[in-house]
Amino acid sequence: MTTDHEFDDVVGAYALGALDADERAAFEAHLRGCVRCQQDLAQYRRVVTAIGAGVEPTAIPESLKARTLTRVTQRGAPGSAVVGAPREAREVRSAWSWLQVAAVLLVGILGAYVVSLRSTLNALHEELAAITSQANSLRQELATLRTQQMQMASTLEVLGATDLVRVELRGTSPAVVATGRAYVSREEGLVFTATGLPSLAEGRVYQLWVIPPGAAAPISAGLLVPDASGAANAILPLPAGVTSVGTVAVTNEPGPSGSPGPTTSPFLAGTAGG
Amino acid sequence: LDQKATDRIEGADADQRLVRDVAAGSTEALARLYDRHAPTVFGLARRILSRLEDAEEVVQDVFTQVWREAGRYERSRATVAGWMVMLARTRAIDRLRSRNARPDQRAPESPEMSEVVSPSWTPEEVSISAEDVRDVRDALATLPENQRTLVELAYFEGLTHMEIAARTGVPLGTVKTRIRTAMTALRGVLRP
Repeated sequence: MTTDHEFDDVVGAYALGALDADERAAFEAHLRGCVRCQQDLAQYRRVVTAIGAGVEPTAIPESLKARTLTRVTQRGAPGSAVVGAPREAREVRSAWSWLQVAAVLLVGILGAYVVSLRSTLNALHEELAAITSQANSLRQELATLRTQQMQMASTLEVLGATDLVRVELRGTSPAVVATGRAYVSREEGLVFTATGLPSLAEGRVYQLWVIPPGAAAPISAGLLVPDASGAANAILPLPAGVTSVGTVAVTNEPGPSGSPGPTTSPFLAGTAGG
Repeated sequence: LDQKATDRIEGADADQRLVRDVAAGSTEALARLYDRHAPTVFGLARRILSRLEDAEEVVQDVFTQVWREAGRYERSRATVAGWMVMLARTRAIDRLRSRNARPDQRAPESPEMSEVVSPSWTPEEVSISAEDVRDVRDALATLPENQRTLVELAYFEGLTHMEIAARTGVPLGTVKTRIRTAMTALRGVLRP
Protein backbone atom coordinates (compact mmCIF):
# COMPACT_ATOMS: atom_id res chain seq x y z
CA MET A 1 0.00 0.00 0.00
CA THR A 2 1.47 3.36 -0.85
CA THR A 3 -0.67 6.36 -1.68
CA ASP A 4 -3.86 7.63 -3.29
CA HIS A 5 -6.06 4.63 -3.80
CA GLU A 6 -8.24 6.39 -6.31
CA PHE A 7 -5.56 5.50 -8.86
CA ASP A 8 -6.23 1.78 -8.42
CA ASP A 9 -9.34 2.35 -10.49
CA VAL A 10 -7.55 3.70 -13.54
CA VAL A 11 -4.48 1.46 -13.97
CA GLY A 12 -6.32 -1.06 -16.15
CA ALA A 13 -7.84 1.65 -18.34
CA TYR A 14 -4.42 3.32 -18.64
CA ALA A 15 -2.79 0.08 -19.82
CA LEU A 16 -5.60 -0.26 -22.35
CA GLY A 17 -4.99 3.31 -23.59
CA ALA A 18 -8.53 4.31 -22.62
CA LEU A 19 -7.79 7.24 -20.31
CA ASP A 20 -8.59 10.70 -21.60
CA ALA A 21 -5.76 13.23 -21.72
CA ASP A 22 -6.35 14.82 -18.29
CA GLU A 23 -6.66 11.56 -16.42
CA ARG A 24 -3.72 10.14 -18.31
CA ALA A 25 -1.46 13.05 -17.41
CA ALA A 26 -2.49 12.93 -13.75
CA PHE A 27 -1.92 9.17 -13.58
CA GLU A 28 1.47 9.37 -15.27
CA ALA A 29 2.58 12.04 -12.81
CA HIS A 30 1.49 9.78 -9.97
CA LEU A 31 2.90 6.60 -11.51
CA ARG A 32 6.51 7.76 -11.38
CA GLY A 33 6.47 7.70 -7.59
CA CYS A 34 4.13 4.80 -6.89
CA VAL A 35 5.55 1.29 -6.73
CA ARG A 36 2.14 -0.23 -6.22
CA CYS A 37 0.76 1.28 -9.41
CA GLN A 38 3.92 0.30 -11.35
CA GLN A 39 3.46 -3.31 -10.28
CA ASP A 40 -0.25 -3.23 -11.13
CA LEU A 41 0.55 -1.72 -14.49
CA ALA A 42 3.00 -4.50 -15.35
CA GLN A 43 0.18 -7.00 -14.76
CA TYR A 44 -2.36 -5.05 -16.81
CA ARG A 45 0.13 -4.77 -19.67
CA ARG A 46 0.35 -8.55 -19.73
CA VAL A 47 -3.44 -8.57 -20.06
CA VAL A 48 -3.46 -6.01 -22.86
CA THR A 49 -0.69 -7.75 -24.79
CA ALA A 50 -2.44 -11.09 -24.36
CA ILE A 51 -5.66 -9.64 -25.82
CA GLY A 52 -3.79 -8.83 -29.03
CA ALA A 53 -1.82 -12.06 -29.14
CA GLY A 54 -5.11 -13.96 -28.74
CA VAL A 55 -6.54 -12.69 -32.02
CA GLU A 56 -6.81 -15.46 -34.59
CA PRO A 57 -3.81 -15.50 -36.93
CA THR A 58 -4.95 -14.80 -40.48
CA ALA A 59 -3.72 -16.22 -43.77
CA ILE A 60 -1.56 -13.63 -45.48
CA PRO A 61 -1.46 -12.74 -49.16
CA GLU A 62 1.49 -14.70 -50.62
CA SER A 63 3.17 -11.72 -52.21
CA LEU A 64 3.29 -9.70 -49.00
CA LYS A 65 6.40 -11.46 -47.68
CA ALA A 66 8.51 -10.57 -50.70
CA ARG A 67 7.16 -7.01 -50.75
CA THR A 68 7.85 -6.57 -47.04
CA LEU A 69 11.39 -7.96 -47.16
CA THR A 70 12.21 -5.91 -50.24
CA ARG A 71 10.97 -2.72 -48.67
CA VAL A 72 12.74 -3.38 -45.40
CA THR A 73 16.11 -4.24 -46.90
CA GLN A 74 15.97 -1.19 -49.16
CA ARG A 75 16.30 0.77 -45.96
CA GLY A 76 19.87 -0.47 -45.62
CA ALA A 77 21.43 -2.00 -42.53
CA PRO A 78 19.48 -2.08 -39.26
CA GLY A 79 19.46 1.31 -37.62
CA SER A 80 20.54 3.11 -40.78
CA ALA A 81 18.71 5.98 -42.38
CA VAL A 82 16.43 5.79 -45.39
CA VAL A 83 18.25 5.63 -48.69
CA GLY A 84 16.95 8.19 -51.14
CA ALA A 85 15.69 7.51 -54.64
CA PRO A 86 18.50 7.17 -57.16
CA ARG A 87 19.10 10.30 -59.12
CA GLU A 88 18.43 10.17 -62.77
CA ALA A 89 21.58 10.42 -64.77
CA ARG A 90 21.15 13.07 -67.27
CA GLU A 91 23.00 13.43 -70.49
CA VAL A 92 23.05 16.59 -72.43
CA ARG A 93 23.71 15.80 -76.05
CA SER A 94 23.58 19.32 -77.24
CA ALA A 95 26.09 20.76 -79.63
CA TRP A 96 25.46 24.23 -78.25
CA SER A 97 28.01 24.61 -75.54
CA TRP A 98 26.40 27.77 -74.18
CA LEU A 99 23.41 25.67 -73.31
CA GLN A 100 25.66 23.34 -71.33
CA VAL A 101 27.14 26.25 -69.48
CA ALA A 102 23.68 27.56 -68.73
CA ALA A 103 22.64 24.14 -67.48
CA VAL A 104 25.67 23.92 -65.21
CA LEU A 105 24.93 27.40 -63.88
CA LEU A 106 21.31 26.50 -63.33
CA VAL A 107 22.29 23.34 -61.47
CA GLY A 108 24.60 25.47 -59.34
CA ILE A 109 21.82 27.92 -58.57
CA LEU A 110 19.35 25.14 -57.82
CA GLY A 111 21.95 23.46 -55.63
CA ALA A 112 22.45 26.62 -53.61
CA TYR A 113 18.70 27.01 -53.34
CA VAL A 114 18.34 23.43 -52.07
CA VAL A 115 21.09 24.03 -49.51
CA SER A 116 19.36 27.16 -48.25
CA LEU A 117 15.98 25.38 -48.14
CA ARG A 118 17.56 22.56 -46.22
CA SER A 119 19.04 24.91 -43.66
CA THR A 120 15.69 26.68 -43.27
CA LEU A 121 14.06 23.31 -42.79
CA ASN A 122 16.62 22.31 -40.19
CA ALA A 123 16.04 25.55 -38.32
CA LEU A 124 12.29 24.94 -38.39
CA HIS A 125 12.81 21.38 -37.15
CA GLU A 126 14.85 22.64 -34.25
CA GLU A 127 12.28 25.28 -33.43
CA LEU A 128 9.53 22.68 -33.51
CA ALA A 129 11.51 20.35 -31.26
CA ALA A 130 12.06 23.20 -28.78
CA ILE A 131 8.37 24.09 -28.78
CA THR A 132 7.35 20.46 -28.39
CA SER A 133 9.63 19.98 -25.45
CA GLN A 134 8.34 23.21 -23.93
CA ALA A 135 4.77 21.98 -24.36
CA ASN A 136 5.69 18.67 -22.78
CA SER A 137 7.23 20.26 -19.75
CA LEU A 138 4.18 22.52 -19.33
CA ARG A 139 1.96 19.48 -19.60
CA GLN A 140 3.99 17.72 -16.92
CA GLU A 141 3.88 20.79 -14.72
CA LEU A 142 0.12 20.90 -15.10
CA ALA A 143 -0.17 17.22 -14.24
CA THR A 144 1.96 17.73 -11.15
CA LEU A 145 -0.22 20.67 -10.10
CA ARG A 146 -3.33 18.56 -10.61
CA THR A 147 -1.87 15.80 -8.47
CA GLN A 148 -0.98 18.31 -5.77
CA GLN A 149 -4.46 19.76 -5.95
CA MET A 150 -5.95 16.30 -5.46
CA GLN A 151 -3.64 15.72 -2.51
CA MET A 152 -4.67 19.05 -0.98
CA ALA A 153 -8.33 18.16 -1.36
CA SER A 154 -7.78 14.77 0.32
CA THR A 155 -5.78 16.41 3.10
CA LEU A 156 -8.58 18.90 3.74
CA GLU A 157 -11.08 16.07 3.92
CA VAL A 158 -9.06 14.34 6.62
CA LEU A 159 -8.38 17.54 8.57
CA GLY A 160 -12.04 18.50 8.42
CA ALA A 161 -13.25 15.17 9.81
CA THR A 162 -15.31 15.38 13.02
CA ASP A 163 -13.53 12.36 14.55
CA LEU A 164 -10.03 13.72 14.01
CA VAL A 165 -7.28 12.45 16.37
CA ARG A 166 -3.77 13.92 16.47
CA VAL A 167 -0.68 11.82 17.23
CA GLU A 168 2.71 13.45 17.88
CA LEU A 169 5.74 11.32 16.95
CA ARG A 170 9.24 11.77 18.38
CA GLY A 171 12.51 10.60 16.84
CA THR A 172 14.57 7.87 18.50
CA SER A 173 18.28 7.04 18.40
CA PRO A 174 18.84 6.57 14.64
CA ALA A 175 16.95 9.81 13.98
CA VAL A 176 16.86 12.00 17.12
CA VAL A 177 16.16 15.21 15.18
CA ALA A 178 13.18 13.71 13.36
CA THR A 179 9.65 14.74 14.32
CA GLY A 180 6.34 13.65 12.94
CA ARG A 181 2.64 14.22 13.30
CA ALA A 182 -0.31 12.10 12.23
CA TYR A 183 -3.95 13.15 11.92
CA VAL A 184 -6.27 10.19 11.92
CA SER A 185 -9.95 9.97 11.03
CA ARG A 186 -11.84 6.72 10.84
CA GLU A 187 -13.94 8.08 8.02
CA GLU A 188 -11.43 10.02 5.96
CA GLY A 189 -8.07 8.32 6.55
CA LEU A 190 -4.68 9.45 7.74
CA VAL A 191 -2.52 12.49 7.02
CA PHE A 192 1.12 12.07 7.98
CA THR A 193 3.93 14.59 7.96
CA ALA A 194 7.50 14.27 9.20
CA THR A 195 10.79 16.18 9.01
CA GLY A 196 14.41 15.36 9.73
CA LEU A 197 14.34 11.79 8.39
CA PRO A 198 17.89 10.65 7.51
CA SER A 199 18.39 9.26 4.02
CA LEU A 200 18.42 5.46 3.95
CA ALA A 201 20.82 2.97 2.37
CA GLU A 202 20.12 1.84 -1.19
CA GLY A 203 17.19 -0.60 -1.33
CA ARG A 204 15.67 0.48 2.03
CA VAL A 205 12.38 2.33 2.48
CA TYR A 206 10.49 4.05 5.27
CA GLN A 207 7.30 2.27 6.28
CA LEU A 208 4.47 3.71 8.37
CA TRP A 209 2.69 1.53 10.98
CA VAL A 210 -0.44 1.94 13.05
CA ILE A 211 -1.38 0.00 16.19
CA PRO A 212 -5.06 0.13 17.19
CA PRO A 213 -5.62 0.60 20.96
CA GLY A 214 -5.24 -2.76 22.73
CA ALA A 215 -3.84 -4.50 19.66
CA ALA A 216 -0.41 -6.14 19.81
CA ALA A 217 0.77 -6.20 16.20
CA PRO A 218 1.51 -3.09 14.11
CA ILE A 219 -0.36 -2.90 10.81
CA SER A 220 1.28 -1.38 7.74
CA ALA A 221 -0.27 1.90 6.59
CA GLY A 222 2.04 2.33 3.60
CA LEU A 223 5.47 3.55 2.51
CA LEU A 224 6.91 7.04 2.93
CA VAL A 225 9.18 8.75 0.43
CA PRO A 226 11.09 11.63 2.07
CA ASP A 227 12.39 14.44 -0.14
CA ALA A 228 16.05 15.53 -0.22
CA SER A 229 15.61 17.59 2.96
CA GLY A 230 14.25 14.59 4.89
CA ALA A 231 10.62 15.76 4.88
CA ALA A 232 7.86 13.26 4.10
CA ASN A 233 4.14 13.83 3.57
CA ALA A 234 1.49 11.24 2.85
CA ILE A 235 -2.27 10.89 2.70
CA LEU A 236 -3.32 7.31 3.20
CA PRO A 237 -6.52 5.39 3.85
CA LEU A 238 -6.65 3.51 7.16
CA PRO A 239 -5.71 -0.16 6.69
CA ALA A 240 -8.71 -2.45 6.23
CA GLY A 241 -10.43 -3.28 9.52
CA VAL A 242 -8.71 -0.53 11.51
CA THR A 243 -11.25 1.77 13.16
CA SER A 244 -9.06 3.72 15.57
CA VAL A 245 -5.37 4.28 16.14
CA GLY A 246 -3.45 4.23 19.41
CA THR A 247 0.19 4.26 18.29
CA VAL A 248 1.84 5.42 15.05
CA ALA A 249 5.44 4.49 14.17
CA VAL A 250 7.94 4.67 11.31
CA THR A 251 10.60 2.00 10.66
CA ASN A 252 13.35 1.33 8.12
CA GLU A 253 12.42 -1.71 5.99
CA PRO A 254 13.69 -3.54 2.90
CA GLY A 255 12.47 -2.04 -0.41
CA PRO A 256 10.77 -1.78 -2.70
CA SER A 257 7.55 -2.78 -0.96
CA GLY A 258 8.40 -2.88 2.76
CA SER A 259 7.66 -5.72 5.22
CA PRO A 260 4.46 -7.41 6.45
CA GLY A 261 5.55 -6.52 10.02
CA PRO A 262 8.28 -4.16 11.31
CA THR A 263 11.75 -5.71 11.32
CA THR A 264 13.67 -2.81 12.95
CA SER A 265 13.08 -0.57 15.94
CA PRO A 266 11.19 2.63 15.08
CA PHE A 267 12.84 5.85 13.87
CA LEU A 268 9.75 7.72 14.97
CA ALA A 269 6.93 6.74 17.30
CA GLY A 270 4.07 8.31 19.22
CA THR A 271 0.79 7.47 20.91
CA ALA A 272 -2.54 9.28 20.78
CA GLY A 273 -2.97 11.48 23.85
CA GLY A 274 0.56 10.60 24.99
CA LEU B 1 -5.31 -21.47 -29.06
CA ASP B 2 -4.15 -23.54 -31.99
CA GLN B 3 -0.87 -25.42 -31.81
CA LYS B 4 0.88 -23.04 -34.20
CA ALA B 5 0.11 -20.00 -32.09
CA THR B 6 1.29 -21.79 -28.95
CA ASP B 7 4.54 -22.72 -30.71
CA ARG B 8 5.04 -19.12 -31.75
CA ILE B 9 4.93 -17.90 -28.19
CA GLU B 10 6.80 -20.84 -26.68
CA GLY B 11 9.56 -20.60 -29.22
CA ALA B 12 10.70 -17.55 -27.26
CA ASP B 13 14.35 -18.63 -27.21
CA ALA B 14 14.41 -19.16 -30.96
CA ASP B 15 12.84 -15.71 -31.33
CA GLN B 16 15.51 -14.09 -29.19
CA ARG B 17 18.23 -15.65 -31.37
CA LEU B 18 16.47 -14.46 -34.51
CA VAL B 19 16.20 -10.90 -33.21
CA ARG B 20 19.90 -10.98 -32.37
CA ASP B 21 20.69 -12.06 -35.92
CA VAL B 22 18.38 -9.39 -37.35
CA ALA B 23 20.25 -6.78 -35.32
CA ALA B 24 23.44 -8.07 -36.93
CA GLY B 25 21.88 -7.46 -40.35
CA SER B 26 20.59 -10.92 -41.31
CA THR B 27 17.66 -10.69 -43.73
CA GLU B 28 17.28 -14.47 -43.45
CA ALA B 29 16.53 -14.13 -39.75
CA LEU B 30 14.02 -11.40 -40.57
CA ALA B 31 12.32 -13.74 -43.02
CA ARG B 32 12.09 -16.42 -40.31
CA LEU B 33 10.57 -13.90 -37.88
CA TYR B 34 8.12 -12.98 -40.61
CA ASP B 35 7.09 -16.61 -41.04
CA ARG B 36 6.56 -17.01 -37.31
CA HIS B 37 4.78 -13.75 -36.48
CA ALA B 38 3.31 -12.14 -39.58
CA PRO B 39 0.05 -14.17 -39.34
CA THR B 40 -0.62 -12.73 -35.87
CA VAL B 41 0.43 -9.21 -36.89
CA PHE B 42 -1.75 -9.40 -39.98
CA GLY B 43 -4.68 -10.95 -38.05
CA LEU B 44 -4.58 -8.13 -35.52
CA ALA B 45 -4.24 -5.48 -38.23
CA ARG B 46 -7.22 -6.93 -40.12
CA ARG B 47 -9.27 -6.91 -36.93
CA ILE B 48 -8.53 -3.19 -36.49
CA LEU B 49 -8.57 -2.04 -40.13
CA SER B 50 -11.22 -2.99 -42.62
CA ARG B 51 -9.16 -2.37 -45.77
CA LEU B 52 -6.82 -5.13 -46.82
CA GLU B 53 -4.23 -2.70 -48.17
CA ASP B 54 -4.11 -0.92 -44.82
CA ALA B 55 -3.47 -4.18 -42.98
CA GLU B 56 -0.70 -5.04 -45.46
CA GLU B 57 0.87 -1.63 -44.83
CA VAL B 58 0.83 -2.34 -41.10
CA VAL B 59 2.71 -5.61 -41.64
CA GLN B 60 5.33 -3.77 -43.68
CA ASP B 61 5.58 -1.00 -41.09
CA VAL B 62 5.97 -3.47 -38.23
CA PHE B 63 8.75 -5.46 -39.88
CA THR B 64 10.50 -2.27 -40.95
CA GLN B 65 10.45 -1.18 -37.34
CA VAL B 66 11.68 -4.59 -36.18
CA TRP B 67 14.57 -4.30 -38.65
CA ARG B 68 15.40 -0.83 -37.44
CA GLU B 69 15.04 -1.44 -33.70
CA ALA B 70 16.20 -5.03 -33.28
CA GLY B 71 19.44 -3.82 -31.68
CA ARG B 72 17.59 -1.79 -29.08
CA TYR B 73 15.08 -4.54 -28.41
CA GLU B 74 17.66 -7.30 -28.10
CA ARG B 75 18.74 -6.17 -24.66
CA SER B 76 15.28 -6.50 -23.15
CA ARG B 77 13.69 -9.58 -21.67
CA ALA B 78 10.29 -9.31 -23.32
CA THR B 79 8.79 -11.95 -25.53
CA VAL B 80 9.15 -11.13 -29.20
CA ALA B 81 5.49 -12.08 -29.74
CA GLY B 82 4.44 -9.42 -27.21
CA TRP B 83 6.64 -6.82 -28.86
CA MET B 84 5.18 -7.54 -32.30
CA VAL B 85 1.62 -7.40 -31.02
CA MET B 86 2.31 -4.05 -29.37
CA LEU B 87 3.85 -2.66 -32.55
CA ALA B 88 1.01 -4.01 -34.70
CA ARG B 89 -1.70 -2.51 -32.54
CA THR B 90 -0.01 0.87 -32.30
CA ARG B 91 0.60 1.10 -36.05
CA ALA B 92 -2.88 -0.14 -36.95
CA ILE B 93 -4.68 2.26 -34.63
CA ASP B 94 -2.60 5.21 -35.84
CA ARG B 95 -3.61 4.29 -39.37
CA LEU B 96 -7.26 3.86 -38.34
CA ARG B 97 -7.31 7.26 -36.67
CA SER B 98 -5.72 9.05 -39.61
CA ARG B 99 -8.11 7.32 -41.99
CA ASN B 100 -11.20 8.19 -39.93
CA ALA B 101 -10.23 11.76 -39.25
CA ARG B 102 -11.12 14.38 -41.78
CA PRO B 103 -8.75 17.28 -41.24
CA ASP B 104 -11.54 19.60 -40.10
CA GLN B 105 -13.17 17.07 -37.76
CA ARG B 106 -10.18 15.78 -35.96
CA ALA B 107 -10.38 16.38 -32.24
CA PRO B 108 -7.19 18.25 -31.40
CA GLU B 109 -6.77 16.57 -28.02
CA SER B 110 -7.16 13.11 -29.46
CA PRO B 111 -3.69 11.63 -29.04
CA GLU B 112 -1.94 9.43 -31.57
CA MET B 113 -1.84 5.87 -30.32
CA SER B 114 1.93 5.83 -30.60
CA GLU B 115 1.99 8.82 -28.28
CA VAL B 116 -0.27 7.06 -25.80
CA VAL B 117 1.61 3.82 -25.84
CA SER B 118 5.26 4.55 -26.51
CA PRO B 119 6.62 6.89 -23.87
CA SER B 120 5.95 4.63 -20.92
CA TRP B 121 5.56 1.31 -22.69
CA THR B 122 8.97 -0.19 -23.06
CA PRO B 123 9.21 -3.72 -24.42
CA GLU B 124 11.10 -5.01 -21.41
CA GLU B 125 7.94 -4.77 -19.37
CA VAL B 126 5.74 -6.90 -21.56
CA SER B 127 6.54 -10.54 -21.25
CA ILE B 128 3.70 -12.93 -21.89
CA SER B 129 3.32 -16.70 -21.96
CA ALA B 130 1.11 -18.94 -24.08
CA GLU B 131 -0.91 -19.52 -20.90
CA ASP B 132 -1.51 -15.78 -20.49
CA VAL B 133 -2.84 -15.59 -24.02
CA ARG B 134 -5.13 -18.59 -23.62
CA ASP B 135 -6.41 -17.56 -20.18
CA VAL B 136 -7.08 -13.95 -21.17
CA ARG B 137 -8.79 -15.00 -24.39
CA ASP B 138 -11.09 -17.40 -22.54
CA ALA B 139 -11.82 -14.83 -19.83
CA LEU B 140 -12.59 -12.17 -22.43
CA ALA B 141 -15.06 -14.54 -24.09
CA THR B 142 -16.93 -15.09 -20.82
CA LEU B 143 -17.20 -11.41 -19.83
CA PRO B 144 -20.70 -9.93 -19.92
CA GLU B 145 -21.38 -8.61 -23.41
CA ASN B 146 -21.72 -4.99 -22.24
CA GLN B 147 -18.24 -5.12 -20.68
CA ARG B 148 -16.51 -7.00 -23.49
CA THR B 149 -17.82 -4.59 -26.11
CA LEU B 150 -16.35 -1.60 -24.31
CA VAL B 151 -12.96 -3.27 -23.77
CA GLU B 152 -12.89 -4.15 -27.46
CA LEU B 153 -13.72 -0.58 -28.49
CA ALA B 154 -10.76 0.58 -26.42
CA TYR B 155 -8.39 -2.14 -27.60
CA PHE B 156 -9.29 -2.52 -31.27
CA GLU B 157 -10.35 1.03 -32.04
CA GLY B 158 -8.10 2.88 -29.62
CA LEU B 159 -11.01 4.83 -28.11
CA THR B 160 -10.81 6.59 -24.76
CA HIS B 161 -13.50 6.59 -22.08
CA MET B 162 -15.07 9.78 -23.45
CA GLU B 163 -14.92 8.61 -27.05
CA ILE B 164 -16.56 5.33 -26.07
CA ALA B 165 -19.29 7.20 -24.19
CA ALA B 166 -19.87 9.43 -27.23
CA ARG B 167 -19.85 6.44 -29.59
CA THR B 168 -22.12 4.18 -27.55
CA GLY B 169 -24.33 6.63 -25.65
CA VAL B 170 -23.43 4.79 -22.44
CA PRO B 171 -22.94 7.37 -19.63
CA LEU B 172 -19.26 8.17 -18.99
CA GLY B 173 -19.34 6.91 -15.40
CA THR B 174 -20.81 3.59 -16.53
CA VAL B 175 -18.17 3.24 -19.25
CA LYS B 176 -15.43 3.70 -16.66
CA THR B 177 -17.00 1.24 -14.22
CA ARG B 178 -17.51 -1.46 -16.83
CA ILE B 179 -13.99 -1.18 -18.21
CA ARG B 180 -12.54 -1.22 -14.73
CA THR B 181 -14.59 -4.28 -13.76
CA ALA B 182 -13.63 -6.08 -16.96
CA MET B 183 -9.91 -5.30 -16.65
CA THR B 184 -9.89 -6.44 -13.02
CA ALA B 185 -11.52 -9.72 -14.05
CA LEU B 186 -9.02 -10.24 -16.89
CA ARG B 187 -6.11 -9.50 -14.62
CA GLY B 188 -7.50 -12.00 -12.13
CA VAL B 189 -6.89 -14.93 -14.47
CA LEU B 190 -3.14 -14.27 -14.86
CA ARG B 191 -0.97 -16.87 -13.19
CA PRO B 192 1.78 -15.50 -10.94
